[in-house]
Amino acid sequence: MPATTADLEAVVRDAVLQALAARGFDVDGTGAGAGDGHGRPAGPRPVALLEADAPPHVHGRQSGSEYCTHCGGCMEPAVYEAGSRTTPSSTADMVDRLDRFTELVWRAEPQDITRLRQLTRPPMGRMPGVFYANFNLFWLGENLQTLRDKARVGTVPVEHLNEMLAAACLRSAIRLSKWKLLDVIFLLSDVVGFAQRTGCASHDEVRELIEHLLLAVDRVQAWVDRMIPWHRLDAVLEPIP
Amino acid sequence: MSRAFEVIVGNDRVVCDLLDDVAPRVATRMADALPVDSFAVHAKFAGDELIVMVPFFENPQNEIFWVKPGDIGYYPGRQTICMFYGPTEPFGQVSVFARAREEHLPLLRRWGQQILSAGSLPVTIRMFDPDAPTTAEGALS
Repeated sequence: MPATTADLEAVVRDAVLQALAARGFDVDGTGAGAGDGHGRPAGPRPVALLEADAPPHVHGRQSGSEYCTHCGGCMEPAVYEAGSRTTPSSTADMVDRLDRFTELVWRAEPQDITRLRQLTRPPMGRMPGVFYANFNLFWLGENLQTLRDKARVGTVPVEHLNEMLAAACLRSAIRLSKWKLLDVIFLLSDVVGFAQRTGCASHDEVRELIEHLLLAVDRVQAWVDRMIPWHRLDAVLEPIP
Repeated sequence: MSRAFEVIVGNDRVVCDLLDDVAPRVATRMADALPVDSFAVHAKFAGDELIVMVPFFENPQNEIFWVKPGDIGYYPGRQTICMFYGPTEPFGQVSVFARAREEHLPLLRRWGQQILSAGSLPVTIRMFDPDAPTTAEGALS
């Protein structure tokens, strides 16, 4: 029996939460992850979201290719960093991962956006997913800008900025799971893991990481924004009295 | 010698002179980021303005509210460059770091009208070389 949209949403949301929880992340706001009592898990665990149910997620990609170039001859749609890996050990490693993501989504429409084009939900079809994805990503960017400003000023302790960064990214990842932006969710879960487990060591590192994260998520937001027919909307927008 | 970059759509190009005297940091950051393939969209509530995301983050410099047609600004809030080609209703300050050449303003206006009727345009931005073919010209040669 084919899965319904509601089923898929539940699968994605549960998978995100379970995978994050399995990695020791605080997904319920209590900070009660398995680990050393400080929100740090006992040891590194690989990212393993959905690989059993979603074959495309085991396939890799190189810049410039729409398809997996990892296993040779494979024509599965490629996705961001599908292989198992551990949490970045430093801000430089995390920034490098963010830059690779940005490179992947810069030139060609990301797979997340292709999926979003196909997403339809009752009773209003494609509109809610596209618009909400656009503004969910937009406000993730705005919130990250706020954190960056705080990091620049340096008045908030670094450990608090790490915690706020993790919380903002986790909330956005869960929210974006409604619109099936799986590659963005992977990326945000990486940032959550880094911020909770390793964390930036200085205000300057927080600022740097956020600037690179902004480029990554704002690029995806730009792709969503690009497909909205803004130039035709005003003509059909008749506010309800 | 002054530096310039060019914005290319198909076989057409708009040359923009970098304002190294008033915005050297942003101008240099832009030059260092080129070449870039991206796409242009139209402003939604600020008048005659084209917007292109660029892959760098830079702090404000030479911020101006009342921009003029031809001004090229950088907006760190979205990591975009804003190309003003006609009347604007400014919504905020941008770091004006370049200026489109006067003779190319009609082309910017044409692109603006194209985007308003179609949605977006693919663009290539690179340092200006008067002898280099545009993307389309290069494909034909």
